[in-house]
Amino acid sequence: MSIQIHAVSQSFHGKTILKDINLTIEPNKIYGLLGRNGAGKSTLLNIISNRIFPSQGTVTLDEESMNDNDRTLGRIYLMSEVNLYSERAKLNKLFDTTALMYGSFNRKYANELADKFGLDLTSRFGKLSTGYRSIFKLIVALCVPADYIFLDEPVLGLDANHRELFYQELIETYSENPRTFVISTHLIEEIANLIEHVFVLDDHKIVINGSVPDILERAYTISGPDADVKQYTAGLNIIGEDHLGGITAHYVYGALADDRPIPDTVKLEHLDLQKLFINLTTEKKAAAHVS
Amino acid sequence: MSNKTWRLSRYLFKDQLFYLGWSYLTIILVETLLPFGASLLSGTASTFSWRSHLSGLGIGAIFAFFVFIFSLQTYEGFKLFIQNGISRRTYLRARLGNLGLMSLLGVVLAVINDFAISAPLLRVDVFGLLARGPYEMYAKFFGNNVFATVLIYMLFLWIFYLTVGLFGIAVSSLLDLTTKTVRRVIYIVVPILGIFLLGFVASNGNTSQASMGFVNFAKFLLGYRETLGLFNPFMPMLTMVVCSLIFGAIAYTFHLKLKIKN
Repeated sequence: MSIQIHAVSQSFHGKTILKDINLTIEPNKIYGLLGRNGAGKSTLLNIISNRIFPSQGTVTLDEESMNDNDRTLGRIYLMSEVNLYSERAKLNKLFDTTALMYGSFNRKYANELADKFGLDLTSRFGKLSTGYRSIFKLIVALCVPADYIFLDEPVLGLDANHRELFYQELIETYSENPRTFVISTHLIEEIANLIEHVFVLDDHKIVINGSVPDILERAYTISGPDADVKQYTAGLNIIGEDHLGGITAHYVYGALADDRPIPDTVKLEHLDLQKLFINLTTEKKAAAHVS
Repeated sequence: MSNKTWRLSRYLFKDQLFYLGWSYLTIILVETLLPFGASLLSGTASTFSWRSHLSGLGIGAIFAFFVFIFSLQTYEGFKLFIQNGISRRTYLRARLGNLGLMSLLGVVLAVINDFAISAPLLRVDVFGLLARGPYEMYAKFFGNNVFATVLIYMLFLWIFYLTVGLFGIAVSSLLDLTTKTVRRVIYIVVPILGIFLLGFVASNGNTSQASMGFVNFAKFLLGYRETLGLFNPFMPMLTMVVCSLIFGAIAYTFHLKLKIKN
């Protein structure tokens, strides 16, 4: 019972976008898919949802191919950055269309959400601002009867209030009706407390794939006087560093040396997800740092 | 046809019916009310002929154009269907189901317009009416048998609409796989090649062997029977069926390769 992405690669005009991606997306979990601009997140989501074809590899849902298969495609929903709805279509009619094509749709909840977000359902899709287009697509994503919901930049153009409202609704609907959400976003801090499992794409590959607590448990900031920090972190997997005056901070991902005493002058803290992501994906190749 | 495909075909049918209704309303307005308004303004309203304007609406021809235009909307439909978890194959099946239904509707509308509106307005019978249109050369194939003539005319129209629709789907499926630049090149090159081809045929005169061969082949496809001196409607119908099968195969092949563009 899962989506299996097996050895997926994608290249376009000779340029590699994804290289040998292997992932398992399990039921009833909230995932984060993180990566820098152009890392291939949207491409991966488009391949999973069969909107484009991979150059190599397969995607299956419960061991059934995702390729041109109504049974599997009808169990997933991808809210993408690209707008696939007709500009002329009225929002009410698009709800009806979604219900017709998916077989059902939680219309009552959709109307409630439209009220909460202040979305006029008699409007045409093309007349909406970027933020309200995102809101409309989010409402559909939360009300559609799919087992796996993929959200690509779900809060694009949303103000802080609407973002907060969306996160609340996501948690509520997930509690009432657990299903899988995969959220691809740049606003890592905002989803850090929501997601249970994280995938980090960098250099066309998955460089992190694990549960958020496990990953953060292995990510440290070690700060203090330059010499003491360097002495303590020698031989560890340093993924980044900062300097301010004589104070140095080393960011370490991986196990610490248990037998090495921590100097009194050195402070040891856990990294948050955003800081870890930045250090893993900035300049130096993350793959080299990931064990 | 599965329940799902049937449901989607009906969805497409209802959607297009709406636009078809508006198209016909617009045409009626443009072809009758506007000229009447113009005649009122110019003071020639007394000579305005409603009969002439209403009998020449070209409902059947407009329908063929409508079917072609809607058949070109492959990518628009694909976006909506794939967004809602519908496979390419099911989308194509739904389109074909819808094309069958729409074409039947087009035949009914054209026949009603031809024989229940235009013929009485023009005070002609079935044969007189058919003699005024492109079906003229096949109108007398069944002699004076009105039932057989009208029935085969309807079948002819239905196959014609299906062929036009399948041609549109095949062309748009192919074009939707190409880049904008390639499409632009095709839009420019194809008409130029067409003009060159026509020029080539014309410049070779009526007597050249190639030209005669072309004319004879065209006659064969159109169903010309030299012995009887009339045209057989089953031959062009067969030609259209063969073309439909080819267009259908092209549409199927390229539909399955459709993908979302950035």
